[in-house]
Amino acid sequence: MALTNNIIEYALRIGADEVELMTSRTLNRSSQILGDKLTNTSSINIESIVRVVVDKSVASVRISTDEETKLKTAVEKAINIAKTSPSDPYWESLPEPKKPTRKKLDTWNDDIATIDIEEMSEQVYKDYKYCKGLEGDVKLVGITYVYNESDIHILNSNGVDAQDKVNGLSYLIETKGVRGGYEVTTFGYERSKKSRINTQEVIEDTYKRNLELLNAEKYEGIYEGPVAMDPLATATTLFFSLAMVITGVSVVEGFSPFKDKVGEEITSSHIEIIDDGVLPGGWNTRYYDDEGYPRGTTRIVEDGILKNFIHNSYTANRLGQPNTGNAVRRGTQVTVGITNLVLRGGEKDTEKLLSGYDEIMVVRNMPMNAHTTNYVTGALNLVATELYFYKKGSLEKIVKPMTLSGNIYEAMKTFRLGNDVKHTFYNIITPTVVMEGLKMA
Amino acid sequence: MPTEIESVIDLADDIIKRGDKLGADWVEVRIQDTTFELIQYLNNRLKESTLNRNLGIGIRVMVDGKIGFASTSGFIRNNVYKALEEAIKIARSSKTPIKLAEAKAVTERLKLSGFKHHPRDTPYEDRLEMVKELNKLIYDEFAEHEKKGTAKVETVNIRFGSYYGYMYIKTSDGVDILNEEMLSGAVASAVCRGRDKRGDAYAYLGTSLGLDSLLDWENIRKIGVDVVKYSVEKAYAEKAPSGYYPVITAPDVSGVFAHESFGHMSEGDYGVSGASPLSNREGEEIGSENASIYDSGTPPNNMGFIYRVDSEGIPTKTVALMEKGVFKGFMHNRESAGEAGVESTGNGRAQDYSKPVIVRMRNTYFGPGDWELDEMIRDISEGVIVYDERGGQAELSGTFSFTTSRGYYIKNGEIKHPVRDIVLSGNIFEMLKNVVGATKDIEIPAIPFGGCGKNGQGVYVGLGGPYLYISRLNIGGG
Repeated sequence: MALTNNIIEYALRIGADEVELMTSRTLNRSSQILGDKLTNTSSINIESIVRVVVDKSVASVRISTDEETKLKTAVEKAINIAKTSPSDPYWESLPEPKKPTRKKLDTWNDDIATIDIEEMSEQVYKDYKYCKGLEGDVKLVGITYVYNESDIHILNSNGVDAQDKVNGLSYLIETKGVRGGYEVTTFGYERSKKSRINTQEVIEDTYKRNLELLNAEKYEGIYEGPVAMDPLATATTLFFSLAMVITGVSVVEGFSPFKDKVGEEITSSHIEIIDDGVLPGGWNTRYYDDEGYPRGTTRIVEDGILKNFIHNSYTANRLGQPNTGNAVRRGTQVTVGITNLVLRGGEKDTEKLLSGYDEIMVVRNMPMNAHTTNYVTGALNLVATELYFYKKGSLEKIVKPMTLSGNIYEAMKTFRLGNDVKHTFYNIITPTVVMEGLKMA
Repeated sequence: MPTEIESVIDLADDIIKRGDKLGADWVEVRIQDTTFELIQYLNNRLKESTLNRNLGIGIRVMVDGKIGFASTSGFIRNNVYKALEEAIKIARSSKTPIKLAEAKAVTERLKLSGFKHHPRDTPYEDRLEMVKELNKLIYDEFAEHEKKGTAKVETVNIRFGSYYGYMYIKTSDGVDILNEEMLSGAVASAVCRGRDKRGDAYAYLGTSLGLDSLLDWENIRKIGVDVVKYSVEKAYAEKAPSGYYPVITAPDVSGVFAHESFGHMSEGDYGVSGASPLSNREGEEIGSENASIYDSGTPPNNMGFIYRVDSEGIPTKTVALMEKGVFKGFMHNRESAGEAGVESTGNGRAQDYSKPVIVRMRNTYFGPGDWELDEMIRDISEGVIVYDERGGQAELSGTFSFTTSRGYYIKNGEIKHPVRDIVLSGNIFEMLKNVVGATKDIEIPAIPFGGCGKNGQGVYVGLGGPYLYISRLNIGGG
């Protein structure tokens, strides 16, 4: 604490008008098996990021240490850069201190903090042997088990002094099925902030899906009927489209197709979309954002109507809207990002929803190429690799990979949600979503 | 050695001696001192200038044939000792023995040369000035279009960045190498609105040898002129046809096939584990005789990301992955090479000191052929030529989907008109059989923005090749 305050004072003394210091210590333990080779690793990463403002010019310097002399050098460099750079006419100020919106968030779990590399290694090796017992047409490619913990501390010259401590576990398995020259790879993923992961469940589900997909048949022709995306497929698609254009940055910089659409319907009428940075148990839940401003809950869409965007202090100031506590650091720069994005409005049981259609194509898991979605226009071209074609609620056939194209923002106006809500690793919490207007070939 | 790394090199000896006392049979120390500097102009305004310095040490040990890895940020001696103890503890908890291929005992100090302007010594103001000028040029060009009523600018994003610094690798079996790494680049992207459609484009230049080419106004000017020209062109581009057509891929798009589709399945860790569909298929004909693919740390004519020594201190060989359609073999680090019983090819890379070394590509590219681009175009009755890859994805099974930003429709041997956002999809083994030819010259672009991701690690890579003529490829999008 004394060190960080010293750095703030030092920066002000040598010419900064405003200064912010973010320090973090991250512990990452990983146990991974690829083929039959187990690799265990552990890393402790310390990082300090100094952001200074001189005459409305902003510069940031990151350094992977918290040594005082090096931090002072970083401050000097940042001030030199800021002094040489043109001012940002829109800059107002760093955030003022504010108390967190909720008192208890359970961002840290003592039980999972006790997991050490020996235990992780034992688990992965046990799972590897279990997988060997399942092997037939489907074989294990690899398993990765990771424990992460972070201590984050943010101070600024306005008096912000914010601390967060978070931890969690994640588990990834990849399998490959081969039958008659046809190959399919499949992933399974789970994470937890509360307890050890039930890895056997993940393994069995992944093997089951991979085996099923080996029976896939070609869908002849073009499919233009309703498409249902399971929670992970929905999250993958929305992460690279909607999540990018509800940010204050995308509005300020003109990327967002919704920049002038507040008050207008952008999804089907019963949908609610909320960004909840303080969601109890949320994977991306914290007390503060990356500027030390309290995370909050922001209604993005209500009854299909666009209500708000998410902001950091800069975009909130520029648009004259409240700061929503969505500052995130990408690399060294501060920008805006979702925390836990929640889709609500499920009308009925997912199975009943799907069986209400004469024909429906169900897309599961992660379609490929979602990251190339044009989030400005909404144009998407995905390759759906896990496809199930249903007729009147019965599985007609499992389908070989198809290209799915169309416009996700148009499709949002047809969304119907099920009730099989899942926290996905994109930090989007959603059930299966049925949509129309997409084409598969 | 003008960086702080000089003052901590003795730490490596200390760690190796301590590791030996603590029971390690083998110790490897990786010390990093690298910097990434970025200037970004967004919509006619300096967004922020940033500097990112990465200092830290990664330690890999072998105890009773098992490997452990731990790392720590900074160079504080006590933290480093703790990391060593952690690495040894991890090795002891491991379950599977690992064989490491031998490394040549060698002491080298490798610096990059052949340029006047090192990014470390180039004043920030000089780079900022170049970005300001580029920004002005782009807005001036768009102003001309606005006057003519052809296009109105919506967004302009310019990044100018340099990665530079040193990696020091020392092992108890004799590797003692200091290697300078560098990659700089400028990229501009723009979105404009034509009469009824938007157009977007990007243009860039990257180099591993100083900043000379990036401080040359003619090169920077070309980025600005191209990004405006192609974004306006796209605002009037038509929808691409969809279905199976002959396709010509520009060098950067050819590179995506080489890297994403074929390169990953040629990585030795996937090879020895059996995950790759190429496992045990060395010598098999898998593509047309017109298709050859290489991976190199030192590509021809200083193209790409120059990477002379890998993260294990092994010199980077040029590896023939496929020659004339025949699969030649895998890329290896010391672990996968040890498992396969071959030498490492110098493909062991770690994102930084905090990550373990895994098998990675360096610069992956198709080899040249004997065609001229004009000849290819003339040979096509109906098809497309595609430029400017915008990323994509491939599975180890060979299924791929790549997006390109710029393309042109070809009819009866002539380029007819621009087409929008073409998506290429299919299976790499089918695609490789359909390579009809390649042009004589190759390009291998590399820039310090983005790179290749694997196991949560991102590294800089170059990817390229010649123009490739593919007789049949599934295209869609637009």
